[in-house]
Amino acid sequence: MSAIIESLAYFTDIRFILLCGLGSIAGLFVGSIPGLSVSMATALLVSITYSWSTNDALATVMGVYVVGVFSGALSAILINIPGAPSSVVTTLDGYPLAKRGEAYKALKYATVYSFIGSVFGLVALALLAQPITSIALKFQPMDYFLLALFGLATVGGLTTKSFSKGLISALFGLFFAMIGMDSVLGTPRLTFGIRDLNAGISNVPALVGLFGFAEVLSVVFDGHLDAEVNSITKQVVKLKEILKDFWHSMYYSAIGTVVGALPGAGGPVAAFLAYTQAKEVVKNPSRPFGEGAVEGIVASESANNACIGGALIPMLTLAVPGDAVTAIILSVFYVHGLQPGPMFLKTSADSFHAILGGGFIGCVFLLLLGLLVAPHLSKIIAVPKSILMPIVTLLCVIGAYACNNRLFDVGLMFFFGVLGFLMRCRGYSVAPMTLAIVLGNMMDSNFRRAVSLAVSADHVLFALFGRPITMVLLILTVFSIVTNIPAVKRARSSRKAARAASRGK
Amino acid sequence: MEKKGKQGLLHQPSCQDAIFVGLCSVGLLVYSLYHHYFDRNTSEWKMSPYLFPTLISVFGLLLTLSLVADAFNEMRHPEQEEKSSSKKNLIGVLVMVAAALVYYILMPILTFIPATMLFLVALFIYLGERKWWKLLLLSGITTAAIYVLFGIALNVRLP
Repeated sequence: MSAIIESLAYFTDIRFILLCGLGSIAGLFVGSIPGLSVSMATALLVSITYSWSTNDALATVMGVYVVGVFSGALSAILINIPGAPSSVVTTLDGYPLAKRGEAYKALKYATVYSFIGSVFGLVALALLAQPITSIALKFQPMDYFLLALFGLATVGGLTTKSFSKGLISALFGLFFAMIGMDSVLGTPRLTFGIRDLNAGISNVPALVGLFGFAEVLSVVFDGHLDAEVNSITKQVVKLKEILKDFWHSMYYSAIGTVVGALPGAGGPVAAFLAYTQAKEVVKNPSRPFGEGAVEGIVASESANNACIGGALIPMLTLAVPGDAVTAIILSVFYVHGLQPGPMFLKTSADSFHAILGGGFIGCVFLLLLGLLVAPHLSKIIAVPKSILMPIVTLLCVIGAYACNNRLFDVGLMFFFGVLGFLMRCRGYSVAPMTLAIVLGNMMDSNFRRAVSLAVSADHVLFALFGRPITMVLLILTVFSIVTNIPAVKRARSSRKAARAASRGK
Repeated sequence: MEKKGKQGLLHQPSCQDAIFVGLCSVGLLVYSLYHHYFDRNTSEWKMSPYLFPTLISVFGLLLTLSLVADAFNEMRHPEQEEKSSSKKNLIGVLVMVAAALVYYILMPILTFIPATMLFLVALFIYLGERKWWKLLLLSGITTAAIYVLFGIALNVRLP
């Protein structure tokens, strides 16, 4: 509770509020324009905020993150194209509502419940970070390795249709993370004689390439360079009427926070789960679900925004990001010399409060921008991508270059952009690769430390996996891998179908 | 008949991916083993820099098998394959990559501002913009904004 009070002190810091506002405005535009994503904006921010103070960077990043996740709903409602993957479910009811001429009402519902979901997630972060940290303090090197492996396995399983493809994406990410100077012995590794690779592959060009340039190539490949936008006519929607679904939104927000805290699940899964629950919980929706039910927007938006706080919990306390955006935020932390993990709350309590403060201020901006600015955004959403894409490419180039002032990084960015594009074409998600690039070195050093400690013990296997936390993590990892194996999945679904058929009889 | 079956397998995307991943994994395994045993700096396995890459290559080989299994499954259930009917612009992608490479090469020669202006004008024209005043205005304003933000405000040493 004291963390929330400490974080509210940032509401008196004008500079912090202004930077958070700047980030929020950027998040509003980036999130609402299909083709630009929060991940891309955060990746570009790593290089822009490189020389800033930590608090300034955190304020901007939190503004982009909170408002960026919400603003995906704007294009979902107005043009039936979700600005972010987590807003996919919002299109189901938001767009039909806009087609009926009630776009304004849909936007208002999306804004209010995104605000409620975001605040819920951040309060959960403030309350749960300390208890999780006290567990994390007992972690040993093998536990960290297994935790990261568990994260990669779940991300691999949830972000692509094929589990093998998810794991292969993660494996290539681990390979890229291994390139450069070995952190334990200090010798070059996998550099293939290229001197520029001795410093390793910097996260920024890799992330900017995978999310920014790859997106540009995908948009050009798809060829949809223009979009049709629904018009907005102002209508009176009473707050009392909107808040009718408040208690339901608490339930959806709780789903969002829990799903957000699981590595890999993130906004799209949370929104889908909450929507499925809404169909069961809400007996008399305003309209049938899928035909413009505001209850569908409530479920989707409160759950996907609650994910923000949820995803930050493992990122801050265990240094294991919950999704691609938090993986990029983790690299912002590293750039600014912060070390997330069990000691984070003790050693960097100020930064923790700044994150919470930035989050809460971001929520206020979300409400203001959503109610006042979003209804006028329809023209900006319609900016032709033929104008937008060259500018985004330029931002990717400069973002990759600015981090180390090296042209080699621009080349790396192009390489990762083309790689990300080819991966998308072949049905591989880039999210596991992103997580692996960020976590790779931590996994490598912890694994070797665990092995070198264990080989000197009498029972090697017991020394490696004998502790209760390690056993739990091992079981979770094995379970996550085994249940995602296609043969096991097929067996489970056929057993389910047989059970349903016998019930039908 | 057997020949037809084999051809079918090789035409499955998962099988092609399996060949690629398998080759990469074998390459990484050989590279890691060679460097572990022949580099002067490498120590015993427990602290070797090539322990983790070796582990990655072994997992890669296992996943190759999994992809081959996926390929067999795709062969048995061809209806699961998604077929996209929309026309894709592969030439557009190649032009974008080529333009990016030319920009990358020209930047240190022409310096940032002229190279960026040229790059933007070329891309705007390729993506369908024809009004010359719009081309100049858009590329000029964007280049100036980037220069002011990064070169002046953020002290980035632009090429």
